[in-house]
Parts: sequence; structure tokens; C-alpha cells
Amino acid sequence: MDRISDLPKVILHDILGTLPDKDAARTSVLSKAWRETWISFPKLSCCSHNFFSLRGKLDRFIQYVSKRLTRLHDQGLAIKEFKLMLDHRLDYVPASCHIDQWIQMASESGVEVLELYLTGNFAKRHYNLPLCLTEAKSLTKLVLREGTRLDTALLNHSLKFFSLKTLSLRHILLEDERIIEHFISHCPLIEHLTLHSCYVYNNPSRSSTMTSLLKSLSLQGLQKLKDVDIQGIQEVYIDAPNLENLCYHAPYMVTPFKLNLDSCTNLRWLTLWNLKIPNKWFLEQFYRIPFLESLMLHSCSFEHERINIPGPELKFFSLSHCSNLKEVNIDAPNLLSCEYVGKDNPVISFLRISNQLELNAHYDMIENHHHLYSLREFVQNIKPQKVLASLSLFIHEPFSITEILGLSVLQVSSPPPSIKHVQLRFPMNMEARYFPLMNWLLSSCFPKTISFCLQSKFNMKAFVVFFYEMLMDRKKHGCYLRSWSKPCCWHGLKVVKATHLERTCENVEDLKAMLDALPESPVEEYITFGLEL
Amino acid sequence: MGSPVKKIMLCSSEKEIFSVEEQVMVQHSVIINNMIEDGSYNHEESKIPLDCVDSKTLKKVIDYCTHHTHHHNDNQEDLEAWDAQFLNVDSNGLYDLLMAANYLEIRNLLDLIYGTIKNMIKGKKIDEIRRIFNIKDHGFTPEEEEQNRKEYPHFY
Repeated sequence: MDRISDLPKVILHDILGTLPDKDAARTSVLSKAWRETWISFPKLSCCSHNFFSLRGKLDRFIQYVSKRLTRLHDQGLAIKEFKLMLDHRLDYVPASCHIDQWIQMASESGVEVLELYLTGNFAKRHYNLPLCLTEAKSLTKLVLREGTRLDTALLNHSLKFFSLKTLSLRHILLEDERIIEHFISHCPLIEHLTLHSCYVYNNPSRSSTMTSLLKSLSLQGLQKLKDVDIQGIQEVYIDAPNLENLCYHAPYMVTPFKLNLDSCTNLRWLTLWNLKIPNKWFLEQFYRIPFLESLMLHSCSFEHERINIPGPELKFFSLSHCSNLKEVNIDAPNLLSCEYVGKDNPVISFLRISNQLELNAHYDMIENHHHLYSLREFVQNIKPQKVLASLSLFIHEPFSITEILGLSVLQVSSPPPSIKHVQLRFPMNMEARYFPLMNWLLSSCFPKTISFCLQSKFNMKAFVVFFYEMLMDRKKHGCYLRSWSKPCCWHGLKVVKATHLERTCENVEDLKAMLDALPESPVEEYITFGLEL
Repeated sequence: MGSPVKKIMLCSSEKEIFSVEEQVMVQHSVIINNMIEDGSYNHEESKIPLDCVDSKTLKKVIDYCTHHTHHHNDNQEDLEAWDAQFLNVDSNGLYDLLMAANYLEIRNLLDLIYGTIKNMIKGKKIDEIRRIFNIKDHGFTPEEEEQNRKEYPHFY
């Protein structure tokens, strides 16, 4: 007997809620009982390109959505979630009046989550959010992405978003620049706010359809606000005493930004993107945000080549793709993890450190940018040396290979610095490069383990076999590194272990068999060599 | 010696009494936790009547809670293997367990069963799901079934 179908509807609805949309929709034709369950399922996720092969036929989709919503609405059943995704190829302007009705029905049926994804170019066409939505008192989450316009009428309307906790607006069009502030000021419980690239008409009378990014935003007196993600607004003022997480992405690095966080004293996580950071402003922020635990600086540039990072409570610090930096001084006694991603080689120093501190560096090597010794310099300039836990190298092209080949002996005066782990991603297409490149790498640093990315585009299999044989039978190759010790570090290795997915290769045949068995897949897989002196 | 382990009595629909460590049930069942907290359970006299849970199912539920209390530090793989073995039951057994977990509000057991039912549906064709759920009579008229197949060919 089939008893699963007899489960109470609430339970079956819970189960439908855990399924991907397509699988949930499929249950509607399983049996009459499942059809009933599906009809009363209060979470509607309607995606035009998921449900039908439309071939431009909007009518069927409209009919389908209308039918489902009307059934729930007319029977007085709840519509808890309504997500609408329209294919960008569809011209949804003719559907606007239907979307209005759908939102009206959802608002009247206690909708909690409303998400509209109307992709497309809103300079040409857009959907005006209907005023009936402002009556949706039970709404807790509102997501509007692309193709939607908020018009001036909203300004003269009292909004009833008493329960709204999450608001996410991306690539939407504003008829008036005050709309967002007006909107948010009516959401006393708001906790999560995302604003990405919101546009305003250049000319309020709309004599032209030219738009530009919203320039400024002021958020005041939002006691519950915890989480803010803002992109593309030049001036931002936030007064939210309980704000914990802020991600701010400036519109253009050339224009000066204004970010005022004076009252956000409880901020724990701060992420800054695309900012041209004045030193004074930067240091001031640290005094205002005493509890900062995580700081991420992405694609920022600094006024000076030298920056100081003081962070009494800082546990995580990431510096990635920031330009013009020569010196980074970090004084964060509680720091546990630090990440550097970039192509420059700044001197990174830590003043007071905890025992657990680990620095993971991702070093991008681009041709014509680095000279032969830059990697060694970068590694040696990390103070104290022991914090460097791993180094990932991405060599775009075996750069300066002629430079390396031209040298018979690498003149190094001291043993290369030791690193726990080195990870390599690089294209290896010429056998003549194998030995010089590895010789260069192992003279720059000495890794305890080394792994190579086996992604098929890098053509690594032959190289991995070569590397294994070179390590296992080291004496046959000439040694380039003579100046500081004999034998040089990797010619004196005692133990070499090659492992892949926890499997260790016993000999070269084993390794070859394992490499051949690997599927040709674009995913990143690594083979690891353990080296022991 | 520590104090003896506190026990509570659970009574199945067949009036069979099960004595269980209090901590085990309190940790997993919201309902029992509430009863103990608000003092509505008297350790001297009370039995918690579970009229809609039969002995076989109750024993399984207790097994689940006991294992997850005493083995919560085990590695994830072992726990998952145990769970998979635990849920190796027919759809009747699954139904009974789900109803019991729902009644006692045992969140992690509910999630586990939801996950199992989810996997019975996810990525499968209609005929396959019907076979798994043992749906012999789908209740659609031949015309309706024909209409469904025409309207949603990609479901089949």
C-alpha cells in the first residue's frame, strides 16, 4: 500500500519545499492525491524557462501561473512564497497587468517571500512595481532583480512592511533617488539589506531615458540592521548600531567615495571592494570599529605604498588584488588566518602574532612582470617566516623561461625558505621547460609538500611523471644549485610520496596508471608530493 | 559513583512501557523537553502516553535518539552509515517513523526522513516514483493521464 501519499499535507508540503522546483512540479502528475498536494502547496516558484519549452509563447506560462495563484487565492489558502523568473527573451511588458494581479493575489494571501527576476534591459522595457504590494504586511523577504522600476507614487504612499527582514534590490530602476531611503525607513525590522547597482533617471521629469547610478544613500536609526551589502553607490552613510557585517563595493575607483560608519561600533566583518583608500581614513576606521574580526580588501588601491593594519580583535585578514603596495605591516595579536592574493610582491610583516597564525599566499606570476628571483624575495620578505603556511602559484605562461634556461647555475647564497605547502597551476607544454622550471621553483622555496593542478588544460600528466622520476632518481640530473650546500636541498631528499585523493603511489607504473585513470574533466584536481629532507 | 541515570516512561499505542534515559529524549524531542521543563511530567508516577505511536516504531525512535546522544562525536561518515542502515525500512515503516518524529518533534530525525523521501523523488521519472511509492492506482482517468502526458511530456 502506498502510505507516503497519505501523509498529512503540511508534511508533504515540507518535503516539496526541500525539492528543486522541477522535481516538486513533477509530483503534480504522480497521482490524484499528489495533484491535490501540489495544488495547495503554498510556495510558488515559477520560472518561464524551467517549466515549459516556451518557444516565445508567453500565453501558456501566464495561464499556468494565473491558474495556480487563483486556485490558492480563491480558496483562501496561503501563498507563502511567490518567486517569478522570466526568461530574458520574453517580452514581459504585455504580461505586466498579469504580474500586477499575481502580486495582488499574493499580497492578499499572506505572502512572506516575494522574488521577481525579470531579466532584461530596463532602459527599453521595465515592470512598474504595483502599489498593492505596499499592503503586504506579512512580507518578510523581498527580492527584486533587474527589469523592475520603483516609481514616484511610492513616495506618497505609506508602506506597510512591518515584518520585512530581508530586502534585496539589484539592477533596478528608480524614478526618484529618494525612493530607497523612503522604502527602508518603513521597514523597522529590517536585518539584511542588499543594494546592487540601482539606477536613477538623470532627468527627474524623464524627458530623457538616460540613467545613472544612485549616488548617495543614508540609512538611519535601523536598530535591527545586521547585514548590509552595497554596490555602486558613491556616498554611503549608515547609522545602525547593531550592524555586524558590511560589504561595500565602490562604483569606480577613480571617483572618491564616502563611507561613514561612525555609529556602526559593533561591526564584526568588513569587506571593501574597488576603493581608493586614503591612509588617514583607513586608520580612523580601526579606532571606530574596535571589535572588527574580519577585514577583506579587494581590488583596492592605497594612497601610500605602505599600510598598517592594527586590529586588536582581528581574526581574519585578506588582501587581494590590491595594487601599489610595497609594505604591509600587520599588528593583530589575535589574527588566525591571513590571505594574500596578488601579483605584486610586497613585504608582509606581522608584529605581534598568535601561535596559530597562518598566512596563505596566492601569487600570480605574469610574464614580463617578474624577474627570476621575485618569488624567492616575496617568500623571504614575509616576517616572521614561519607564518607562511601555504603558497599557491599560478604561472600564466612559463614566464622568462629563456632567462632560466640561459642560466647554468642559479646563484643563491642561502638555503631557500621552507614552506609547508606549495600548490601549482601552470600550463606545461614543453618538455624542455620541465627541469629548469622545477629547479627554479625549488631554489626559490623548499616545500614540505607540493601539489600540481591536474586540470586538463594544463597538460600536466607527462610533467607529473617526469617530476616523480626526477625525485626518485635524483642523481642523474645535474644540479643547478651549487653555491650554498652540497647536496642541494631537493637532491638530498629522503622521502618522496605521491598521493592523489588519499591514495599513495608505490612506483612510477602505479603513478602512470593512476594518471591515466583520471577522467578528462575541467574540475580542479591536485596530485600531491610529500618531500622530506 | 555518579547519581543514577534519570529515566522516563513512554507508553506506546499497545500500552507497552518503555523506560528511556531522560537526557536522551530531552535532547531530541521538543515535546518531551517541554514536558520535563514545565514540570508536567512526574518522575514517580507519570507515563507519557503516545497513543499514535506503536511499539515497533517507538523502539526505533528510541534507538535513534539513544544512538545520536551517545555517538554524536563519531565521525560524520559513521553516523551517516548508521542513519542509512536505520532508515532501511519499507514505505510503511518510513510513514510510521515520520509520523512519530513529527508528533514528538524530533527535528533531526524528521530532516533525515525528509531527505530520504526527497531522494525517492529527485531526478526520477514519474513511472519510477510511482513504483518506489507503490502507487498502484494514480486515480487519473485515462483521458486525464493522456492530457498530463501531453501537457508535461518532460515529466515522464
